[in-house]
Amino acid sequence: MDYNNLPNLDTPPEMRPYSATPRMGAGTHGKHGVARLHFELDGSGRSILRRIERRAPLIVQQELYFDEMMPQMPCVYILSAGGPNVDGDRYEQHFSLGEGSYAHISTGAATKLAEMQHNYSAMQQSFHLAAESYLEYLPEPIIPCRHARFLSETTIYIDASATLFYSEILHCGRQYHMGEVFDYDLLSMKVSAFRPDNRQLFCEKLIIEPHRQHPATIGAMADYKIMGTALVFSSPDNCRTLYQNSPTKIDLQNHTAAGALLLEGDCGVEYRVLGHGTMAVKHLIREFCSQVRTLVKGRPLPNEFAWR
Amino acid sequence: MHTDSSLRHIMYLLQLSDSALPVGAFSFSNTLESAVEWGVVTDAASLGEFTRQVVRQTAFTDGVAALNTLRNIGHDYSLTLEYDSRLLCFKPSTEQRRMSQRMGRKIVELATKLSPHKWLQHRHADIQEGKAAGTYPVSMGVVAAACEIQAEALFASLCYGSASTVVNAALRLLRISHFQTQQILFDTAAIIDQLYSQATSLKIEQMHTFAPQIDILAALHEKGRGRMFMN
Repeated sequence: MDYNNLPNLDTPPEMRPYSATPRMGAGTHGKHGVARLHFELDGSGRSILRRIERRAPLIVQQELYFDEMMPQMPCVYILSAGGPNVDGDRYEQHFSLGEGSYAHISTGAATKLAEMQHNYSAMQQSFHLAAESYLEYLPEPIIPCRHARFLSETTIYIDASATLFYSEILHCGRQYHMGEVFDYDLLSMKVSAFRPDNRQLFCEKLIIEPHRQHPATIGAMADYKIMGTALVFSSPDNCRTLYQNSPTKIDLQNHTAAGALLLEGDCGVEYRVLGHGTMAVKHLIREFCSQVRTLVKGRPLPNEFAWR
Repeated sequence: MHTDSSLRHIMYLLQLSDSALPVGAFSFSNTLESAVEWGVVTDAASLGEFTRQVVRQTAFTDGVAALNTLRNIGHDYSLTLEYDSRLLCFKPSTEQRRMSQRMGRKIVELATKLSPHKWLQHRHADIQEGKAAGTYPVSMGVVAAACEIQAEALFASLCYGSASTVVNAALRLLRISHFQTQQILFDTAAIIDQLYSQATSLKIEQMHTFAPQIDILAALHEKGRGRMFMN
């Protein structure tokens, strides 16, 4: 297997300046984490984690049913034994949900992108949601350190009757470590969504290169430090309802800004949040997720654990 | 500008870039109404920064779509349909999608009256029959190909169009003078070469952006009541 490149992930032009081989190679053993998770309904109608495949440094915890509002919901945390993502790390995460199944996936801690010298860290993700399935993907934030480079490509295949809540929270850096704010080299993050017949629903590619164009610009991050994004794909009726009821405002007191946009063909909603503090952004993203769950499953999200 | 461009092509370019071109550009502000209402843009300095960010966003989305259209239309006309749908999937804001389609249809409608070129007639038919979404950048790419306008000129025209809609709207929304808005347009021209050098080699699937505050302003604009016009 060619470990230098992830399957179906060509090196995009923005990453070419960072294609030197790091000391321990790129994507070699111990630097190519894989997690494949498949959920489906068992004979009694309970949603379970039916298949799991993982390779270090990724660790997948056993599914737990700890959600007080939806005790039937399998909740899975993905961890990394390798600490932060370092030069030449490659990760693959593939999630699939069978018809009618449901799940909640998160990460155990923030994803730190360590300082890099030669290469970059890459993540390839895919989501396959069959009819009537439901998935909440709410990972902890990404924290890019000085000179970090990160490539992520997420592909979603979703049936028209399924619902996916997908979120990302992106920090400016280790802002309390010698004022490390937007000191990374490059972040390239792409999300594409399709119907099972390959009809494209949505595409977004964010490229942030602070040395070329600083994010602290009006229209980009302005004076905000943290960006949260939630993408919801569901039925057109659900999406229109979510869009109408989504909190769209600039909150001067809490220093946050949030707004929802209805995607082409009413196939989804993009909810963007900017803020100064992690907790404020996480809170807004979770509130929106709670709205989605209430609409689709009739139950809100439980309160976040005090230690998260 | 290429030295081999004839005066005729320069005239075409000026005509297409003129704010008087009847495609409805004057009625859009690229979310400036919300930016002013919420105190994001307050003066000439913040307007200049906002305008340049709008232009960057145009360069790496609409600009890439227009350049790909111009580059590939001679090989495979049907790619214009794919570029339209990719562009709509890339624009999260309903208002911006509608704006792009409205202007794209208008420019083709106008161009077919000005020139009998087969690509313009083909594009017009595709839009009329509902085969093409008719987005503005792809339509501009088709018009540029029909009028033999160079890629650099097409790119500059699109970026200028974005900048001019913002500063023209600013004259109605802010305490700002014509001299200040002209200075912003002049200063914005200074970043075009760099944007073009980055955008020209990108394929349609490599369109990208980073304008989260503009996304939120677009959301506020869609739900807000502040409008310069009745639309």
